Amino acid sequence: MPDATFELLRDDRNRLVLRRPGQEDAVDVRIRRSFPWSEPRRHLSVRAADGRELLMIDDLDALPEAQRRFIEQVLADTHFIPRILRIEDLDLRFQHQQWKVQTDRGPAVFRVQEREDIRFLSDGRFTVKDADGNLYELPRLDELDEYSRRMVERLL
Amino acid sequence: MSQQHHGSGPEGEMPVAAELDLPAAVRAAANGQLDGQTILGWAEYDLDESNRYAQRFAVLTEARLVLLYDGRFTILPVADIGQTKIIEDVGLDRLVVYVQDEPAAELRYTRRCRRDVTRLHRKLQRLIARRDPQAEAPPAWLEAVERRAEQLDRCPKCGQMIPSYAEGVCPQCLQKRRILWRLLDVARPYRRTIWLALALTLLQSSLSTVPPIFQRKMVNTAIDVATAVGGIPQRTARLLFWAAAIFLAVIVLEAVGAVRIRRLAMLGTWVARDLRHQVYAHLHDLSLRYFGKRRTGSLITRVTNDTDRLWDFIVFGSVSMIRDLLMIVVTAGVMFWMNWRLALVALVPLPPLALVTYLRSMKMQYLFGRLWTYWARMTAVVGDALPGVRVVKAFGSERREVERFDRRSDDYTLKEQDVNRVWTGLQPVISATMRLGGLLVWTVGGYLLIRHPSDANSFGTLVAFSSFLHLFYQPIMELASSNRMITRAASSAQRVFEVLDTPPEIYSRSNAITKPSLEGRVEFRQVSFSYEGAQPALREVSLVVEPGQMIGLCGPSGAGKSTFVNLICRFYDVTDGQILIDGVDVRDYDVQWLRRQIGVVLQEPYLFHGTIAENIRYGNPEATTAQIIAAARAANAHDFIVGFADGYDTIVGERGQSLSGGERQRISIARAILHNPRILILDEATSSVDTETERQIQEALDRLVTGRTTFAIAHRLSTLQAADRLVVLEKGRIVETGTHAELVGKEDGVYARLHKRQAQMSSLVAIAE
Repeated sequence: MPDATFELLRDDRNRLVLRRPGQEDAVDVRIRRSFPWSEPRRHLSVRAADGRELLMIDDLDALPEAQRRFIEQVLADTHFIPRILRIEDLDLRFQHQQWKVQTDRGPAVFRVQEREDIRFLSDGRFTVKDADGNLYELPRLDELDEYSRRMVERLL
Repeated sequence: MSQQHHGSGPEGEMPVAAELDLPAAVRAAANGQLDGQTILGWAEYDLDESNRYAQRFAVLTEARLVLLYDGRFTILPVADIGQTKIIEDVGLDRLVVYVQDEPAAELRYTRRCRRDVTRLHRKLQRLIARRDPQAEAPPAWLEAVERRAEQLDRCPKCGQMIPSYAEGVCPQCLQKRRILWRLLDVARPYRRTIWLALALTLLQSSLSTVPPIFQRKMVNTAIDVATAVGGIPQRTARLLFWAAAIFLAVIVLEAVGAVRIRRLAMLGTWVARDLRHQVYAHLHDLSLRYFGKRRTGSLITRVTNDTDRLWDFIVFGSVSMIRDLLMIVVTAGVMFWMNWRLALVALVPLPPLALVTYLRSMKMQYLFGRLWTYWARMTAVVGDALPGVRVVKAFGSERREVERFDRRSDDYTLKEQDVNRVWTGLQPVISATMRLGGLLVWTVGGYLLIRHPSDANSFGTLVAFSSFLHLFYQPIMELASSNRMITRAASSAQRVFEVLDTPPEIYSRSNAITKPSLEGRVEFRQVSFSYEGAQPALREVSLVVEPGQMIGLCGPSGAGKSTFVNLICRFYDVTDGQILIDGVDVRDYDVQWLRRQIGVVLQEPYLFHGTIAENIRYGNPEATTAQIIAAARAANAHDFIVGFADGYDTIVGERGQSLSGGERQRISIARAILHNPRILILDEATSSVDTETERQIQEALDRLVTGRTTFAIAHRLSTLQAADRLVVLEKGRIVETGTHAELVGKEDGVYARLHKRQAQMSSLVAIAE
């Protein structure tokens, strides 16, 4: 593990800043996950606004408590992938699917164009991409309630 | 106060017409804050500060940006707004508005709102730029583009905004238009056949009740001792008479049925042909943009499977449903007429039978859908592994692939067993219900016959009823299970009409021009183009090319070279500016004619399945064999073609003779030579071949180029040295033009830099070789 000491913080204009000793501050940086689904807490890439990688954080949990909290909060702020908690309706009458769901970010209604837009993850979860290109996470079937599970099973 | 203000708009002020577009909810939320101002635009944004779904609106007027949320509002005077920018995060975007360098507002939204917020943002930027010349404004030409796009994104029928994924086809209206009824539109030319078929159907249904009625007569007047009058000879004569009558009725009935089904089958086939034609022809009218967004497989399905399913529905589905309905009505009528008590008894098993059939068919539909998914997953493994068989073998992972397939195959088998369980269980239930229904009729009918013998309660009635039961139950079960067919047909029809309803982007004007010949003068006037939204692929490009000149287009990838030639071919229309060929705007020419004047040689030439001769002749369907040979000679292709055992009759394309990249390229050059276009486009025609082949191709190209206006794209700059002029593109702009010598001489010019780098590369290659 490259033991780069660094600090991520917000400046007075609310921009994310990467501070490293001996280097100029990088302003307005972004944090991206390298393995959003399989290893969400490892290999976090800190990048400049133009997409250049400045730093790779190998393991979020190896960081000091305060930094870890801060980065978690930044990730929550800049990543929006609602987790579907309950499926209220799944209309399959036409070739597209109309989903009506409860997510951890509130209720949502969306349309899924094709079966291929539902992706199986190796750990049993799914990702669902709607017609606009938004992503949703669908938990493993055994974590869903009976009704939701029956709804999803109609797709599988 | 707001109401009054609204009711009496002060005269002389701008009419607040745009305000009409505001949804009532927004206007209510604005609570009078927008009164008397011209609304320039509005957008919904759908996330709050903590990234939870919300419904919020931003409304822009000349003087202020008003944010409406949770019954409250924030007003930002445009005069105070400094910088604005959109940050794209993962799954959400943020529009940040700064007032005096301080972030004053942040609009968070998902992809759903992206189009509308981006548009609003650009309008805001324009307002700011009007006040502050320092601020960067979006290019002026985008404004016109957007205004047009906004019109197109509004459904002309229902007036609602069409969601951005639907590409101009309003999903609401498509659904509302009663998709299955639209099939009737397609069948309109055949309405005489349809009426005839319907009449025959009615006739057939009525006729099917005749044999049982005759049967009753036969029993009552000839067979049954209790009711028949007269001696044995009379009864025998009656028996034979009714037998003959039933014989005749059956013959007529089946003859009518045969005519009917034949008529309908033919009708369905014609309608399916018309649909296939319409869909396929319409696909060819659609632009490349449309194809870029869809999987070819899904389009092929629409032309073939979906139209086929509709045929199935027209011939067997809709018609048998009508027949079933008629049968039920007519049979029930006759049964009630004969004996209403017995008819009621016969109806008893109906509700449970219909219900069971309906539920089971729903279940089957669901199971079949699931089965299909598992089937697809299984075949996907094969489709994935076989084309990559070289990689599989190279990694020695054959066993792994077989295991992967077996797992999917096992999954599929298990699901298939579920299906088997359901349908095998259904059959006995139906059969038992029908038999028990028969038993009921016989029991009750027998009881009535014993207790109250009459003409209605006769043995003949019982016999007739047992025939009716079959005529009666059969259509009811078919109707109950037909919902699967209806759903399938409806979704097929929807897919088909979705294609048909997509308006072609590129089309010839009604008074489009064709000319006897072209000279080949091409002029770009301030051409700007963007594929999608705001990212311009070409910006204000101007260039004049004289007939017969060769232009080399170069620059880094993504610079706009391919866009440049796409616009000449009019695969897309410019978003601003003009392209003129021989002084006429390309949009004024007939598209088909224009493209016939242009020849294209691509990096990866596509050969159709067919013989080499056919592929060369694609450039000019009237060419003689001698012309084909001449073209092949000019393309340096003749020698290797004749070397094949089948010569020019060699089959190429998928599953045909395998050709090397250079051979395919030379065939495609022969095709272009035969096509004899005035304007020629060479898109990376010599990349990815070895040096010797490149020399042969180059030689062929040199012959092809002479006398034609040519645009050549190349990464390998050496191939462009023959060009009269080089045009260097970078980020959609022309940054340099000139001859090779001029550009190489330019200190820190883009071309000089590229050239130097390539020279180093090729010296490395030379050492390696």
